Amino acid sequence: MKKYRISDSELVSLYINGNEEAFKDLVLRHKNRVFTTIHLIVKDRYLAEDLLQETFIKAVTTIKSGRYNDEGKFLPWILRIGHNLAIDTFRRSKRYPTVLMEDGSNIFDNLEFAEPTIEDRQVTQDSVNKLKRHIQELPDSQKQVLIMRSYLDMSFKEIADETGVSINTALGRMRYALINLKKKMQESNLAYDKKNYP
Amino acid sequence: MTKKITHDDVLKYIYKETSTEETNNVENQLALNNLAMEFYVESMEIISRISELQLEPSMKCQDKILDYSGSFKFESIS
Repeated sequence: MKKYRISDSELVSLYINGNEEAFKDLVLRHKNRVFTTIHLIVKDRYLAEDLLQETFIKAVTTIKSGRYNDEGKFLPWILRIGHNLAIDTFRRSKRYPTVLMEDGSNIFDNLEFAEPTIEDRQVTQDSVNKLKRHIQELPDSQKQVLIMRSYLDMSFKEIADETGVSINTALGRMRYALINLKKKMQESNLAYDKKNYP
Repeated sequence: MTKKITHDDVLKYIYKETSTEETNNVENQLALNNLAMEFYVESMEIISRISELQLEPSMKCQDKILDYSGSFKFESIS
């Protein structure tokens, strides 16, 4: 984990004492990590941005109403808020998936495969987009473990407790996630080679 | 004497979730077992790419968060 001159808990203390710049530093420091976690779950940039706002709004409300108590661990706390919001939204979209467009196609499909924004093109490279897509295509159980381990920094024991499976199952899901990602990367590299060197 | 290791042992080792004894055992086995070493190298490569994956929200989104914070007043604690 990155080391900063001023720790997260010091920034939170400054923020509690009315320093808005301290909150800005916290947002700049962690927005990408939280956004990446949310985006990989909900698969849609605009929805992910809404949920990112909701995540930080919950943080602001909690801190400013004097209810914040995470024993100095701001990042795991805010990651958990974002993760839970994303999971809830994902589950709701699975429960009510049939929002249809005029042509009968599912609105979620259209969102997912929408053209990337200009900003997307500028800030993300092709390989990043590929990896993001490959992670999103993983079976839900594998994707869940991968996100919890890689972005939420949860141990396999914590993941097992949280998801109600054994440690061996959590480890097995992670192993299959990595194997599947490797396979998908090889396939997309092969497709790229065929396209460019037929 | 070293015990045979599984891919799950290697994963726990990568994520630093092994005890000192398990760590020594995995390291010894990796030196002896080509298949385990191959799995370790491939997994490390993918995991490092995953950890580098950073998606960025728009400035507009970030500004909305900061605006919200600026407009939210602290609750007085009495």
